[in-house]
Amino acid sequence: MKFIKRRYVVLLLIFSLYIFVTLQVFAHGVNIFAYIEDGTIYTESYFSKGKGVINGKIEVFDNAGMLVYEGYTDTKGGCIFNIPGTGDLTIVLDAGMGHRATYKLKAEELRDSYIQQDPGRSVDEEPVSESYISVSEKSGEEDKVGNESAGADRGRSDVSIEDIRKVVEEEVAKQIRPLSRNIAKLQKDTGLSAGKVFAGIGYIMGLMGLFLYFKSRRS
Amino acid sequence: MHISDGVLSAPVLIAGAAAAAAGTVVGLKKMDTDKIPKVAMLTSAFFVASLVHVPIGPASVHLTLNGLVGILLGWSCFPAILVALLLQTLLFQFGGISVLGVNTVVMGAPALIVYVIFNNFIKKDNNILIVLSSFFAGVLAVLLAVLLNSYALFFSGDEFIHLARLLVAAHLPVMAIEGAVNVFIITFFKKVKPEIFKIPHAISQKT
Repeated sequence: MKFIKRRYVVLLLIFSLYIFVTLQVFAHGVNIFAYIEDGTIYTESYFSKGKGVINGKIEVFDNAGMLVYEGYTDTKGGCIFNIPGTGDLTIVLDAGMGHRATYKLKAEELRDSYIQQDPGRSVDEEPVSESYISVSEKSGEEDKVGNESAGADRGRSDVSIEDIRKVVEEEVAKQIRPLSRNIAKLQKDTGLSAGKVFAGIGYIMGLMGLFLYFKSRRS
Repeated sequence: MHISDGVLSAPVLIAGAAAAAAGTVVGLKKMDTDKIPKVAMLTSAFFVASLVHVPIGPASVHLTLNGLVGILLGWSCFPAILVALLLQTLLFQFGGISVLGVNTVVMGAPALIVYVIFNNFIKKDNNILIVLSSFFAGVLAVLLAVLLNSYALFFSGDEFIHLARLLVAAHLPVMAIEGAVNVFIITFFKKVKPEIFKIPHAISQKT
């Protein structure tokens, strides 16, 4: 049984040329990812090549499937809005022409952002500040809190520690934002790569082999 | 033109799946041993072709090669396109599993139609006829695919005329490129290996 006919080799060569010449251009799919900062959700919608989706429709649904937010992406593909509810959120991008992508935000991520936003709400943090005060009272001078000395009344120590906490949180959030953005993007990237192209072709050849084998067994 | 999961309504998905299944069954029946490597080659070609994109304004469109697949494979274009689309979904997340049937019909039906119309002309010896048929086969295959695509989206609420006009306009360069590619490949095969056009199955006794 002749397996490799010359014309198929030629075909393969032609298409390999095709592949190598054009592999740097990718076809389109759309993707969306989101990250949270300070009670605000930042979304970015883009085509596989990296171009932002302009004027794409963004819809956000809560756990029950109710629409809690609706908006459009700007000229860079971004859409920023305040957290519209508690619980898990599903963000849906509709870029038209049948292109659609989703991103899910878990309730825990949203909750963390709430705490960042409103330090007064964090009840569990007070015991910590109390222990700080007791430490500074004990040590006397060495006071990382700054101007407030150990002798100052507890009310003012509480506030200043919260101030510092707030400042630190803001600065850290600022540093982390590009990181969380990159992580979210990485998780969502479609992974269009030469390796996968060859994997796909390998699969096809494998299927061909199976077909040929079973057909030959029958005859 | 891959439609993603979650865009189309259930009746459309089911109809698409049924039509794709029917086409695939017929295509597999008509696929005898000699044809299998050819099918595999064209499946690979179709698989890779969608990775070639042409940026059009804000969005981008991609080549399909479904005209070529139809002319060279006939009914077996259905299993070929089905497999290629499935692999694209699994490896690149293009399209979706639930919408696989619809996408297969959107690409496969035009391929088959183009085969029925142009196959006889391409088998003839007239060079001009071959060039013209190849070109228009490519153009028509893409045009029909775009229209079917719009039709499917129409059932999910998109307004048909407006969408169809938009998609057709966006795909005009693709049609031209596909036509040209078809001309090159088909004339090449006519010179080098004309037997590739003889599709050995029961119906095509009109050789």
